[in-house]
Amino acid sequence: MDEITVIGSINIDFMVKTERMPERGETVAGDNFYILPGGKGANQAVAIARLGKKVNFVAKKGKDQFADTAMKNLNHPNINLEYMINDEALSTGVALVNTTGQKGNKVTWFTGANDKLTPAEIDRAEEAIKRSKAVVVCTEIPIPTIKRALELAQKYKVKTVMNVGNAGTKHREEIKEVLRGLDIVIMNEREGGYLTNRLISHMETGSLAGNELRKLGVNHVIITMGKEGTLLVNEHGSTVFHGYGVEVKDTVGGGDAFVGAVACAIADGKFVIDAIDYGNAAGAIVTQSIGAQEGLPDKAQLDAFLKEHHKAGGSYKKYTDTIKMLENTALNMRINIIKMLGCACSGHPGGSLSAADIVAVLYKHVMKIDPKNPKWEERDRFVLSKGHAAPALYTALAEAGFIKEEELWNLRKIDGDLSGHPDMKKTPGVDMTTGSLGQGLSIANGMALAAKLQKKDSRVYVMLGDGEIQEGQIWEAAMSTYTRRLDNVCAVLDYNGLQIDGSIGQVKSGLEPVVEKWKAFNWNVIEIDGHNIEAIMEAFEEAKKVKGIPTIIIARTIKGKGVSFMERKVEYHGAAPNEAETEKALNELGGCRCK
Amino acid sequence: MQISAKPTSMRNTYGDTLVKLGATHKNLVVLDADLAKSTQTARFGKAYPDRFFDMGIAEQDLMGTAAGLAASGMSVFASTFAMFGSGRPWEQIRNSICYPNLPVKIAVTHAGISVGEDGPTHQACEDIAIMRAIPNMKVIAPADSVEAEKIVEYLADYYDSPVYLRLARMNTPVVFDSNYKFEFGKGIIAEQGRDVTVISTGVMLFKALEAHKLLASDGISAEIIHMPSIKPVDAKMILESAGKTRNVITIEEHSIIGGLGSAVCEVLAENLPARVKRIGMTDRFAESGEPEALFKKYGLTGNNIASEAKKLLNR
Repeated sequence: MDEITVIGSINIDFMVKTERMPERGETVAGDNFYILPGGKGANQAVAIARLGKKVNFVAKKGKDQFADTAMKNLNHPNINLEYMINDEALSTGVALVNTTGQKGNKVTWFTGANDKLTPAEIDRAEEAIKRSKAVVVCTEIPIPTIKRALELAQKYKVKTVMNVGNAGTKHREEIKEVLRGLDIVIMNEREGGYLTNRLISHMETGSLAGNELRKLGVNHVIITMGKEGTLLVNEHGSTVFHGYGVEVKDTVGGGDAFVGAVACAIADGKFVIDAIDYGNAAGAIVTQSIGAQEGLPDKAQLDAFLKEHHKAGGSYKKYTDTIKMLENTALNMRINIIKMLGCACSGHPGGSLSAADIVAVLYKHVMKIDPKNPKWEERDRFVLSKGHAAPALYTALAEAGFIKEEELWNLRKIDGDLSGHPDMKKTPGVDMTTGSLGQGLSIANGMALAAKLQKKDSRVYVMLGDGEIQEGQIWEAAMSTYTRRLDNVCAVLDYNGLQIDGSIGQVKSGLEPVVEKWKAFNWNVIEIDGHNIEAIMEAFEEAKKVKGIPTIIIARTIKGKGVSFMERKVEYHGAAPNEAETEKALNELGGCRCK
Repeated sequence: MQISAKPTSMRNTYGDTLVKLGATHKNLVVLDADLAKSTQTARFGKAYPDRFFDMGIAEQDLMGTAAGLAASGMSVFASTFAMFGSGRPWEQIRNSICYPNLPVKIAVTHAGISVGEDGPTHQACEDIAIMRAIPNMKVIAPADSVEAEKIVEYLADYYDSPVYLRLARMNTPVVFDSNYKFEFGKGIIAEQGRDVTVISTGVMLFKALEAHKLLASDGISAEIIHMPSIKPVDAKMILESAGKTRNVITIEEHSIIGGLGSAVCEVLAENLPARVKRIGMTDRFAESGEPEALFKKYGLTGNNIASEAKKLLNR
C-alpha cells in the first residue's frame, strides 16, 4: 500500500450551525451544536486513509477531556499513529466554528499543542517520509517545522503538497519563504488574498495571484474558490475547473477533503489536472454532510461519484479555453480585416492588425456590454481614438454580435453603415465617432466623469495610437484624467512604432521615454506584449484594481501583425491590399476569399 | 420698444441662470477653461462643485470632455471666451460634437469688439461664420440679459443638436421683458416700419433701436428686426419685411463676411433680391479701446445705421 505522510494539526471543533453569520455585536441563535474532531492535518489524514492509502500522521495534541474526541476517526487501520505526540503539559487545539451551511463558515482558532510541534519531532519520522509517495503539510504548525518536513521530503524526492490556512493572522511572509521548491500549494481564495495582498474575487484576479506565487518558486498553485470553481496556475498558464454543483450542507472540511484527495492522486502518479478533478469530487461529497470528517468518502464512493458525473461530460473547463477562444476571435478578426479592406480597396490594414488582439480581448472578455442593447446605459464604453483602425473595431463588433458578419463587406461603401472611420450614429455598438486624431482621450474622460456623476460603475476604454499622442490635446486630456482621478478610464497605447511618414522616432523624436512620460503625468502604467492574449487579459484586470489614478497599458505591438509581408511595413499604414495581396494574406491567416 | 436706462450684464445672468437651473436639472454640468470668473460659470461652480469642471487652459480638451459627457446623457454647458471657444477647438467641435450631433451647449462670452481694451487677439469677429458653417450646429446671440436668461433656460432641456451661444462681455441695455419667449429660427420685430428693414443680432439691437429713433425724426419708417437665432435664420420674416421695404441693413458685432449679414443675403439672393447694406467689421481687425469708442470708430452706431439707411433710400 502506498504511503503518504501528513504533518499537520489536530483540533477539536466546537461547531454551531446558524442561519447566517452574526454581525459585530449581534447574537444569532444556532440550530445545532456539535463537538467534532477536526484540524487540517487530522482531516486530511482521515481523508487519505479512507481513500485507501496508508497514512503516517505526525501531529501533537494535549492531554485533556477533548483529546479522545479529536482522535475519534484517526483510529483507522490505514493510519499509523506512531509519530503522533501527546504532550501532557499542553491542551489540544480548539476551533470555534460558526457554519451557515451553503453560505460558508468562520473559524476562530486556539492553536494549543499544534504550535509546539518541533523540527526534531519531524526528524523522528524521517524513515516514514522517505517511504512516502507524498508529504502533506499545512500552515497550522510552526514554520520551522514545515521547513524541516519539506527539506526531508525534497531530500528523498518525495512530492510535496502544502495547504495554506491562517495566512491572515500569522507569518504571511514566512509562509512565502517555504514555497521555493514546493510541488503544489493549495489555498482558498481568502488565504490566497492574504498571501498576495490582493482581493481575489474571480478567476482573473486568482490568476494574477497564482502567477505571483509561482514566481516564489512553487510549481503548481491551486486556489479553491467555492462556487467559482478551482483555479490551477502552473507553467501552462491558468486553468479553471468548475465544481460539481452539488447541494452543500456544510462547507467545513471541503478544503481538507480536496487536499487529501489531491495528495492521493499525486501519490498515484496522476497529472495535477486529474488530481484536482479527484479533489473537487471529494470536496463535493464531504460538503453534503455536517462536520469535517464525518462525510469523507472512501475510494469506492469517490470512484462511483466520478463515474456518474463524468458520464455527464466531466467537471472542468479551462481558463486556457478562454485564451484559445480569444486567440481564435483575433484570428477571425484579422481574416475579416483583410477581406473587408480588400473589398473596400482602401483603408488602414497596418494599425488594424496591430490592434486586433487588444480589441478582441476587450469585446469578448473584458467589457460589460450587451450586443442586443447597444445603448445600454450601464455598459462599458470603448473609444477608438485612433479611428483609422475602424476595421479592428467593426470586426470585433461582428464577433460580439452587434452587427452581422456580412455587413463587414460594405466597409466604406456609399449608403453603408460602416464609415471609413467609426460613426456612432451609423454603426450599432460604436460608442464614439472618431477619426480625427488626438480627441478620444478627452471624450473618454467625459464619459468617465458622467459615469461617476451617474453613480454607474461603467469603465471607459480608449485606444490611442503611438503617432497619435504627438497631438497636444492628448496631454491636455492626460492631465484632466488625473485631475478628476478618473480611475474608471483605461487607455491602451497601440505602440506599433510606425506612422504614415515613417517610424515614430524618424518623424518626430520625443515619444520615448513613453512609460516615464505617462508616469510623470501621474498615470499607472502597465507594459505588455500587445499580442499576448493572457498578458492583455491580465493587464485589463490589473487596471480595474488600481484606484485613484487612471491606467494606461503600453502595448508593444507589430504593425501589420499576422500578415508576413505587411509586418513592420509603413507602406501598409493606409494602403489596402490588392487582389493578389488579399489572397496571399488570407492564405497565411488560413481564411478563404469567399465572402 | 423701450431701452432701459440701466444696462445689465448678460454674463452675470448666464452664471445666475445656471445656478438656478442646477437645482432642478440634476444632470446639468458646466465646464470652463480657466475663465470661470470672467464667464461667470464660477457661480455655478460655487453652488455645485461636483458638477463643475474647470478644464484648465485647454480648450480642445474642454470640447472633447463636453462631448463625452453629452454622449452619456448629461446636459452640458461648455464656456470660455468666444475667441477660444470657437477658433482653437473648431475641429474638435466639428468632428467630436457636430458630426456625431452631440448636444453640447457651447456658451461663450466676450464676443465681438466690445471686449474692448484686450484688443484684437481677444475680439472674436469670425466666430459666427465658422460655427455657422458646421452642419448640425445652431448659432444664437441674445441682445440683453432677459433674453439670455430665457435662452439658457431653454437650452438646459435642449438635446437635439449642438448650440453655439454667443454672449457679450459688456453690460447691455435691457429691451425685453419677462414675456419673452425663445424659439430657434424665429426673429422678433422690435419695431414695425415700411421704408427700410434693419436686422440686428446680439447686443447690436440697442444700436438698431437708436437708429429707429433717428430715422423716425427724419420721417423714415424703419422696421427693426432682432435675429437671436442666426442659424437657423428666420427666412420667412426676412422675406416678408424685405418684400415690403426692398431695402435691408444688417448690423452685427462681427465680420460682414459669414455672419448675420451673409445669412440674410443668402436668403434674399436666392428668393427676393433686394438692396442690402451689411454693417460690421469690414474684413479687418479692430484694436484696443473702450467698447463705445470702438463701436464709433468701426461704424457700429445708431448714427451710422441711420446714415446708411438714408443712402439706401437716396435721401
